[in-house]
Amino acid sequence: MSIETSDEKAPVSQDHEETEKPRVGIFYCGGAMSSVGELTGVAAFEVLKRLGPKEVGMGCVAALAAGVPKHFRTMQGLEKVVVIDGCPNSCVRKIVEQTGARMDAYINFGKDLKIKKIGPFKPLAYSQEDLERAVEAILNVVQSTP
Amino acid sequence: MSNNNIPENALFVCFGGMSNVGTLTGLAGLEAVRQVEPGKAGIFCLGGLPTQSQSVLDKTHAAQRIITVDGCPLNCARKIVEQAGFVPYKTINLVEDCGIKKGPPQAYYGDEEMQVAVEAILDAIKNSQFLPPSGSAD
Repeated sequence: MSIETSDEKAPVSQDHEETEKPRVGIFYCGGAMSSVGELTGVAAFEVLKRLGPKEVGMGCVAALAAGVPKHFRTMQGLEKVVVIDGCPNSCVRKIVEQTGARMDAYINFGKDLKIKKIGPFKPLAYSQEDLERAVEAILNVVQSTP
Repeated sequence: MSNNNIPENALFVCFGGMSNVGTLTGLAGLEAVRQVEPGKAGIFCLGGLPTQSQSVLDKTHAAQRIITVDGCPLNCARKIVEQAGFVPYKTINLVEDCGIKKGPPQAYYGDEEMQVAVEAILDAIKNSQFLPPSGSAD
């Protein structure tokens, strides 16, 4: 993920009770032991940039795994929840299923998009082409009718 | 680099997307790893612990030390690491330890926030050689 810093802040609303909830929530892996794990986070945030915070918002997988009730409830109340894994370990899907959280659509970059897993410990080894394919896949799922 | 090409310091970052500080852990973690010598630190898969991924568990056992980086006071990364039976050598919380205010997610971060977070992680990595490794609670 490119680390962009800027004086210009772009707040994104979700989770916080005082802000408007997004239509679609995304649970992404974000694991950095391989390229595809990191790519889930990078691609999801690129989708957020393109569609805006009213359309999509990010979830906290760690909070789900740690059993934080508020974060669980927040995602349950959205119109659609998309779950994204990078590799065949499918950790996010397992966490969602183990906790009984909502999952309306699922993408696995390795299985579904045939994006190569590169690692270990090479989180930024994905290609620009891989990123574009991942973003397109998420956009298609987010924007498809439930 | 420790044995089997496993980074000496295993970073477990929250990288949650529901707040600015959660996301910042992932970005600052990457930047910190980029700034240290190869093999000194690596970001591990937090999701692999509660799902008991054997590969993640094995690599975590092989690392010399564990550093958790949480954004908000919920400390989810720390809880997950501890619930998996590991004892962090150092825990960092961006709100409590770095004074960064929790707020809505941001697409961009100011230089100051990023720098403070990166420095906190770098301090933990660089000072690790002077303290005993934490290892596993097993």
